Amino acid sequence: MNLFTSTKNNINRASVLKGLAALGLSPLAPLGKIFATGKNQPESIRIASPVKSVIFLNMAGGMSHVDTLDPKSNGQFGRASTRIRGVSLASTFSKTARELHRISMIRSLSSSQGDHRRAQFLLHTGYDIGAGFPDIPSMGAVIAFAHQKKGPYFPQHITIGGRGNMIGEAGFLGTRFNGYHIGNAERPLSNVEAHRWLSEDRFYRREQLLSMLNQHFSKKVSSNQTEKFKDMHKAAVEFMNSERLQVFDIKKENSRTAARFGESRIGKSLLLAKRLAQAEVPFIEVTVGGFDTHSNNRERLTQITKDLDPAVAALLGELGSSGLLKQTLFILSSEFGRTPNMASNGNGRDHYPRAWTTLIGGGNIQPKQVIGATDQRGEKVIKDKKTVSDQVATIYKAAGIDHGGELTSSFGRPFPLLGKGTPISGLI
Amino acid sequence: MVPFQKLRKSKIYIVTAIILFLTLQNQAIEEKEHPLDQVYAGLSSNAIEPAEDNVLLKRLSLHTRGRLPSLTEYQRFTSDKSKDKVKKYAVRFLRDRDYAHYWSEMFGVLLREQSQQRKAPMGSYYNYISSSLHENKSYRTMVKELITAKGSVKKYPQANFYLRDDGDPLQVAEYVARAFYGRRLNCARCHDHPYDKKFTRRDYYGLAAFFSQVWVKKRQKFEFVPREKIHHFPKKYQKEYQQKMRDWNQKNRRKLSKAQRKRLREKNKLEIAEVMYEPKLGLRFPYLDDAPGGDLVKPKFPYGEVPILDPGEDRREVFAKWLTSKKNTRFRQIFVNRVAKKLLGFAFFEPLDDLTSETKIEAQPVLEHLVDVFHKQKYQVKNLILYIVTSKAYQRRSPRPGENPDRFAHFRPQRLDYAQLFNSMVQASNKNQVGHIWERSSALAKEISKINLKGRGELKQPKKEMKDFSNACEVRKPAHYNTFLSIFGAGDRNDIDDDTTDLSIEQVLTLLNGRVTTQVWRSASDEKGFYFSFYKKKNDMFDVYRAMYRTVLTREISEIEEQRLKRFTSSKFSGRRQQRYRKQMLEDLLWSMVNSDEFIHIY
Repeated sequence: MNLFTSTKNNINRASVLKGLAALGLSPLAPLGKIFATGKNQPESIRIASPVKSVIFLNMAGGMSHVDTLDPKSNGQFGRASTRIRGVSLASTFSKTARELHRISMIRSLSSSQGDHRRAQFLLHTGYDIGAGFPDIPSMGAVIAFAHQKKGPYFPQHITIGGRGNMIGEAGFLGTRFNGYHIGNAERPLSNVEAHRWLSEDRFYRREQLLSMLNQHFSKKVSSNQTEKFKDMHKAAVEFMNSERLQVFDIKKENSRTAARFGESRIGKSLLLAKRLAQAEVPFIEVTVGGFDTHSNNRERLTQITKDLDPAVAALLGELGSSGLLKQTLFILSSEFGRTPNMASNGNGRDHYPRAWTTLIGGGNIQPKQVIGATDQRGEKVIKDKKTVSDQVATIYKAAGIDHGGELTSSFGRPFPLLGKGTPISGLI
Repeated sequence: MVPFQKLRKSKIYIVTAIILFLTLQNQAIEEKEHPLDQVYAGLSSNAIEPAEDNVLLKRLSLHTRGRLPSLTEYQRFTSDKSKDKVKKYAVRFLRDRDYAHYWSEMFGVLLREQSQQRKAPMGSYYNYISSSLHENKSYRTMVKELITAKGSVKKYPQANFYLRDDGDPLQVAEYVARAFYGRRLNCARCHDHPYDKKFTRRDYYGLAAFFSQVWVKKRQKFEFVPREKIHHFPKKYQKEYQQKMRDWNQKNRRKLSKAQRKRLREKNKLEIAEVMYEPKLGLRFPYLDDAPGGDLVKPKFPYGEVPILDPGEDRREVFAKWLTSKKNTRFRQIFVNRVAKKLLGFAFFEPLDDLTSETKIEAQPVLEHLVDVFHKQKYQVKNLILYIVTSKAYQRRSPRPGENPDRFAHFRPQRLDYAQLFNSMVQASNKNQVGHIWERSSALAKEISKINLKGRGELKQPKKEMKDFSNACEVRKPAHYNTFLSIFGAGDRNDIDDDTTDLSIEQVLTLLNGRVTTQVWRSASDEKGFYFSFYKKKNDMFDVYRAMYRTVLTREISEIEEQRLKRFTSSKFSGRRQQRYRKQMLEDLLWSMVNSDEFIHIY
C-alpha cells in the first residue's frame, strides 16, 4: 500500500525523506494553508457530542419499505423477529434483525419528492432542489467541515460505492470537503503509488530534476497561487507516504471479521467503512444501488440483501462489541419507499415517498426506539410523521453539529444548515 | 518676378511642411498608446513592465487556444523583431481552429452544453457553439439566436438552449437572468427577493412570462401543448384547445385497438426534439396561501417597464431585443467581465452572474472602456480578445519573489484549467507531433476591426469512442467522473459555471502517478516520435533536451540547468551506459516537466 516501502526495489523511507529534502519539502510541515477556509469557522457550528465519525448507508433507488424494514402482509417476504419487543423486520434483513437492539428506527418518514434526483438531494441536505440556494453542501461535507482535523493530509469525507447527485458534494465549502471517492473497496486508492517500473535511482533523479525546474521558476515568479500548488504537492507526497494509508487496506482485517462481512462488494465496502470509522474519519458514506425495483421486486431484493444483510449485521455487531458505536453514528436510509401495491409490470413496485423507514443509532442516540408507524399496508404514516429535514436535523445534532447553525455561502450570504426540521425528541 | 519666386519658394516650404507634418503624425499613430492602456494606467502606482517574450507567447497561446505554442511558433516568435508581433500571432491564434475548440469549453460551461442530450443529435449544441465562435459570429447574434430558437434541434441546433430546461419558463428565466443579465433572481420564485426590495415575486413571473410561449415536443410527432400547460392559456382558448385534442383523439385513437395504438405510437415516435412556439400560451401567477393569484402575468423587463406587445407577437423576440440593446450595458458588462477575468487575471466584480447595486466594481473605468469597445466592435468576441491581448496591460509580467503582489501591475499566475492542461499534456507527449497550420501567413491590416478573424480549418468534434484524443473538446461533456478532465475540474454542466478551478490533492496525485502522465512520459523515448528527430541530427542529447524545454516549458535551458543536466547524463543515473540515446533520462525529464510549477501555471 505504501508507495515507498512496497516497491520491489525496497526503497526505504529514509532515502525518500532525503529525496524530499532535496525537493525542499519537509514532510512534517503543517498544512494549515490548505485547510484555511475563508469566512467559515468550523467551531461556529459545533456542539458537544461523543460522535467522531458518521457511517451513512445510502440505499439508492428507493428501498421498498414493506419488503425490508417495515414488513407488512402485502410484502413479498416473511418476517424476522428482533430483540426489541413487538418489532420485526422482513426476512430480507434477518441477520440485521438480530443486531437491531443496538440501534433505533424511524418508521414514519414521509416526503413529497418522488423523483430520484430530487429525493436524493433532500436526503443529503434537508433542502428541496431549487430552494433558492444553488451550490449547497451535502451533510457529509458539512460534518467533515465541522470535524476537520489539522495535521498531515487525510481525507475527511469518504464516499464508497455508487456516486452522483449530491453524494460527496461539498458545494460552497470547496473541493477539500468533497467526498474522496472509492469505487472499489479492494482497490481504494488511485495514484498513490508511482509506476511499478521505477527504480529508486530513477525516483531520486525525478525528484532532483523536478526540484531543479522548480528552483528555476521560483526565482522568477511567486504568488499565492503558485504557493498553494506547492503546498498541495507537499500534501500529496505526504499522503503517499502516510503511515495511515493502511487504514484503507481491508486485507489488514483478521479473516474471521472479514468473513462476517462477506466476500461481496457490499461486504467489503462496509468493512472498509468500519476501518475508516475506527480511524475517526468524520463522514463515510456507502451507497448501495439497485433498489429501484420497478420490475422483479422479489428477485432483485433477494439478490441485494443476500450481500447487504450479513454485512450490515456484521457492521453493527462489530461496532457494538468493540465499543466503537459510542463514538460512531450509524444511519441506513433511502430516498423514498416503494408502492405497497405491486405496480408496474405486475412484479415490481414504483416510487412511493409517502412512507419509508430509516435505521439510526450510535453516539447519543437512544437505542431500541421505534419512532412512528405506518398503517397495516404501509400506505401511510399513522403516527409521528417525520420529514427528511427532521432526519437531517437529528443526524446533525447527534454528530455534534448545531442544526440551527449558519454558514456563509459563496455569494457571501448566510446559509442556514437547515431551513426547517427539528431533531426527533424520542431519539436524542 | 520676385513675388512670384517668393511664392514658389514658400510653396515649397508649405509642401515640405505638410509632408513633414504628415510623417510625424504618421509616426505618432504608429507609436500611439493602446487606448486600453491609457485607461489602465491609473489603476496602480507601480510601473507596468512587460513579460518576457516566451512567457507572453505561452500565455497568449493558452488563453486563446487552450494549448501551448508549438516549438516552431516559439522559435519564430522569439526571433521575430517586429513591433506588432503580438498582434500578428494573436490573429493567427484566433483564426486557428483551436480557438474555437478552447472557447467552446468556456461557452459550454456558461451555456451548460452537454454532448449527449436526450432527443438531440450527439454534439449538436457543441457544434453550434464552436462553429459560431469559429466564424466570429457576434455574441449578440448568438444570444438572440439562442433565446428566439424554435424548431427541430437537428435543423436549428440553437434550440438545444430550451432543451436544457425542458422549456420550463421559470427555469429559463432564472438561467437567462444569471447568464446574460447577471442577476440571481431565483429567490423571488417563492417570495419577494429578500435582498432586493425592488424585485418582487410578481416581477419574477413577469420575466418568466417572456418564455411562456415555448414548450418542448419530445415524444410524438403529433403532440399538443402538454396537459399541465393548458391552464396557462387564456380561458377562452382553453376550451378550444381541449376540443381540438379531443377531436384529434376521436379521429385517430379512440377507435383503435391497443395494438393499433401501440403501432401508431411507434410510427409517430419523435426521434429529435422540437422547440414549439405557441403564441397564445401565457403564464399564470400561482395561487399561494398568502397572496392572490391565478391571473395571467404580463411580461415585464427586470427592473424595467411593461412592454406593449402586439397580440401573438413572439415575446422572446421582444425580450432578446431589449436584452441586447445598446441601452442595456449590463449585457456587455457581464460578458466582458468573464473574458477579462480569464485574460487579465482579475474580475471587475464577482460573482460573475450576480451584479447588484451593492456590488463593488473594481477598475470601473477599464470595465466601462471595454464595454464601450465591445459595442463598437459589434459584439465580436475575437475582436474583444484581440483588443485586450494587444495592450500592455495584458502583457504585464507576473510578480517576482519578494515583491508585493499588485494585481493591476502584475499578472497573477493562473493554474491551467482542465482543457489547457489536457491539451498541453497531449502536446508534451511525443505522439501529437503534427504542428498547426499556422505557416500560412495572413495579411495584417492596420485596424483591428478590419482584420479578418474568420477561423480556418475544420473543427474537431466530441467523439463517440473514448480513445485517441488530441484535444479536450473531443471528450464528451459532461466528462465522465473517472477521467482526467473531471479530476481537473470539468463539471456536470447542470448549472452555470460548474467547472471548477479548485485545487485538490487528487489532482496532484493524478499528475504525479496517473495514467495520462504515465502515457506522456513513457512516450518521451519513442524512437518514432518528435523528440527523437532532434537526436538523429547530431546524436546529441542536448538537442533533445532543448526541444523538450521549448515544447513543454516554452523556454531555453538555463545555464545552471545545463550544468546539472550534464551531470545527470554522465553520472550513475544515466541508465544503461552503452545506450547513447538516453531514453530513461528523457522520460524522467518529461515527467518532471509536467509536474513542475512552471508547466502548471500561466504566469
